[in-house]
Amino acid sequence: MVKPKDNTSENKKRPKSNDEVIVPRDVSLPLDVNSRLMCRFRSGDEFYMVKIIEKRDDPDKPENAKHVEYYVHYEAFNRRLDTWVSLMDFDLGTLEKPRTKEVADAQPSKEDGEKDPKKKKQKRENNEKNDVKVENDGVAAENKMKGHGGGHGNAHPDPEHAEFDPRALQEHEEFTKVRNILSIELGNHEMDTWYFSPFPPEYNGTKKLYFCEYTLAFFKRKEQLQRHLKKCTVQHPPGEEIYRNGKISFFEIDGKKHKMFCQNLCYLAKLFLDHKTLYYDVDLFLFYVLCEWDERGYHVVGYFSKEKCSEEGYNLACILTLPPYQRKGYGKLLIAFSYELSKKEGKVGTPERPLSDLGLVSYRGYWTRELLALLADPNRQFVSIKDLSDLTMIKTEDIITTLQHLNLLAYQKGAYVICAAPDLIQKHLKNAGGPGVRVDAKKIIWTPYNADKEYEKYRG
Amino acid sequence: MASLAQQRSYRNRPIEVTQQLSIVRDPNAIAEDQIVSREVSHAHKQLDKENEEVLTKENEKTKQQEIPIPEVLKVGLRYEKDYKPSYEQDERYLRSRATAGRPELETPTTADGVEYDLDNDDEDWLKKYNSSKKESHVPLDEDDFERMLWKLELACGEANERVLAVTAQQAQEKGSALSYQDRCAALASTSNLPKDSAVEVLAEIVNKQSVIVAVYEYWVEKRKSTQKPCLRRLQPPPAPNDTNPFNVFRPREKIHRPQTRRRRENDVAGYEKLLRARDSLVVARAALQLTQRRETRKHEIFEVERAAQKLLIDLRHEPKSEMERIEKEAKKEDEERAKKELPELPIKGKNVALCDGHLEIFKANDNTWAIVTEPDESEIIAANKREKQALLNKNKRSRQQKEAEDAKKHKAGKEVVLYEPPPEIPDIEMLFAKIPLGSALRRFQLPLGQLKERCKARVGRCGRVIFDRKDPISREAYYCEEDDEGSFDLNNHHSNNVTDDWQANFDPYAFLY
Repeated sequence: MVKPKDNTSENKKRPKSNDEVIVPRDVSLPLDVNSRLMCRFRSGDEFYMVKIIEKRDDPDKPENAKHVEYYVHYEAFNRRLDTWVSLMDFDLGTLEKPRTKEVADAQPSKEDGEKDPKKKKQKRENNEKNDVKVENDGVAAENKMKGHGGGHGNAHPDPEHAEFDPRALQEHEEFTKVRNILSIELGNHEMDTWYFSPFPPEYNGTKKLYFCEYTLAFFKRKEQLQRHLKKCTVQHPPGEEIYRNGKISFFEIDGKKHKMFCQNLCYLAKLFLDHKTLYYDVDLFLFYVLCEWDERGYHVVGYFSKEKCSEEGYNLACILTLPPYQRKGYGKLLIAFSYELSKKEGKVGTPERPLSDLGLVSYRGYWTRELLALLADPNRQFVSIKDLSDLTMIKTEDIITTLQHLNLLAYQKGAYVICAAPDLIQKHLKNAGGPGVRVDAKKIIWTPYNADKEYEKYRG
Repeated sequence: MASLAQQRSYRNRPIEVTQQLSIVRDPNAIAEDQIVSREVSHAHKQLDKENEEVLTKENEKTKQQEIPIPEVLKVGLRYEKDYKPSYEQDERYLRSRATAGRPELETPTTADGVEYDLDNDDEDWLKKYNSSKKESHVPLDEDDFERMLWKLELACGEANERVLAVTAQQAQEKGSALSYQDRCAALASTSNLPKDSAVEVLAEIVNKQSVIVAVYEYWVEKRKSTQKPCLRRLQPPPAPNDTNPFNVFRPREKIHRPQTRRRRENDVAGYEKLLRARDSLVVARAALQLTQRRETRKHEIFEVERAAQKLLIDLRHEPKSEMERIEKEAKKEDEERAKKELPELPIKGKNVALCDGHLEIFKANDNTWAIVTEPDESEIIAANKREKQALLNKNKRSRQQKEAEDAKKHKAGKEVVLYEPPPEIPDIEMLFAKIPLGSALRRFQLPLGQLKERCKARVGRCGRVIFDRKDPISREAYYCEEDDEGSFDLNNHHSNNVTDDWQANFDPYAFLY
């Protein structure tokens, strides 16, 4: 549980403009990257500790130290809440300057991603200011030189190993630390993005994208979307509808057959998933897209992707519920659906790792509900982990982790036992939350992917 | 703390997943310390560790802990205008089979198929073009412009593919393949679509020559600056060896497959690899068989020696009357052993057959050893077997003909794996055979009653100096002449007690050199 750290600053009123901000005498503007201080949370009244990740001039008021914009990371929360703020959001009295090494290290990274020569010039000026400061702090200039050299060396990663090269990874981290697209519009929803997504270079510098709800094509201007929509006659995703229950449907979409749609979906999903890679093509995956439908056709709610043939036994690669549809039980539906497909295939499955925070919470809830429902059966005296796995298609490792997480596994007289006191089970079930939107397995009309058959079809 | 952790560590064996675990329903039956919290190790633990920490915040309305996410707003009016409420749901699931007769339903493309959407540059150019005040100017609307660019893209794409197919074939005839860069350049080019044909394509949409030329020129200019097709569908994917993480959706190539997704290949190369692996395994099996045979021999020698010793002891200690029985026993044992023993395989001048005859080792004339593997009927297809047999026969013939280069020739063939004996150990001076310098020994103080004159120093393992009182092989005591008697006593005493004897030899006056 995270509480605002500084209660004294809670009642501070937000100044009306940056010009009104009273700057304490020992604070020099603009603030340095890597500084830590308390910052207002999302224009509310609560203050949290943040770290400054990046800074830039306000395009309307350039070269004005009071109007510099800062990209901050709230230390108490996930990266998805990182955002641009201005001077009036800070509590300047709480400023902790960065350790001098960090200032030096921060320099090269700033220049790496810069393409706009004008911005670069400004950056350089910022650097110079910082450099002076570093020297004032009594740190040798040599440190700073090293920082610059390292930065330029990074520009040529080893082509053989770049995928796993820690330096290249760090560079990637540097480049993705600030979100490129800040917000999107999709159907009736306008939302902030959460993470960086590698859109084609033509989209560099675009702050907002407009997505078509049917094709997931994306545009820089809303007029372009409107013209595109006029041409759209089909109001549902491509692929096969494999489930329909009330207003909810699932489509199975083959990445090879509907490449554009699946690529668009990946670009979109990456905006909300931190640990997702778009490095490889969508050919080898099937996409299970969850939709709500109404008089305007089908609306993409979320999806999960699945490898056509997974050697590691994954039954799910990426999973996402789009922000407008979150906290409605759809994540649980996606997870349950992935296991229903595993049951139809007769294959035990597990999600690909790592899981995000939201993913982990949802999966734990699902595993808990499924397993405790079985353990609660009073007629059951003995059960093996394998039995539980056969009944639920949950991988044995996940079962063990879940039982351990709930402290239900005990070691007694030289053997493992499962504690299943009714009160305890009820307590855990309550904590695990409701089952969300339920899957009606009878309504799934689906045949598992058959590589041989697909190949025959492909050859004709 | 440490002791607690240690206590628990013995429980750290994995749970047997097939074992039936009893379900305990009595809440008091299990003590707190019997609960196994995250201690049991399993394969996923490392992965789960990498999952993100869950950071929550209290929701102001519900007062419940939740993971905060950025806000979502409604678009509202504009949405309702842009997205038409015209959808009629089909009773059946939407399947491609069901839409087979209506291909437009299959993919959500566009009404009359115009795939291309104007981008910012196109819009800006069109605006500028339409605001031109020239006399000959004819305004152009967005839809037509979009359609013109789309048609140009398609026509150009087709022309490029045709040219590419021809150049690829030419390259193949020359024995080379088109490089990725060549392909990209070919796809980016606009010169394969002659201006005349381009104009022809555009004339179907508008009939004003000035508009057509302006659009064509704009398009050529745009393509020149971007160096790739405008339609994303026609753009080449990033090169497989391009590691820039911002270039996405590259095809998965064999070599550049990420380690998390290894796939089995079912091709000739894979087959050959398996064959090679099999050969290596057969050779390894042969080596192990030889080792086993050697070890069996050693074991037998040991057994024989032990029996001999036992009989000698018996002969000495048992009464004379037993002699006959003991000798009889010895003879019997000897006969039995002779029966049990396998007949020795002929090694001299002949091949050594191993692995039920699937493998032979022979010595070539140039003194290198070669191993010939013979296929197993049940495992290898007949054709392959014949081929191998032929090779094998050739081997034998050539050996008979005493062709010196024979072994080398087979080195190239995959059927024969040449055996190279391990490199000979150079004749190094053994440290432990050295006798330490007298000056170095003067430092040592021997235990009371032990005299330096009765011992012999040598360098032992790890550079320890060891003082032996007896020769380890002949078991004769070392002594100097003036101490004759004492040494004799010592020797006598020890021969009565075998364990002491060994200790005297191996232990104890060892000091770091």
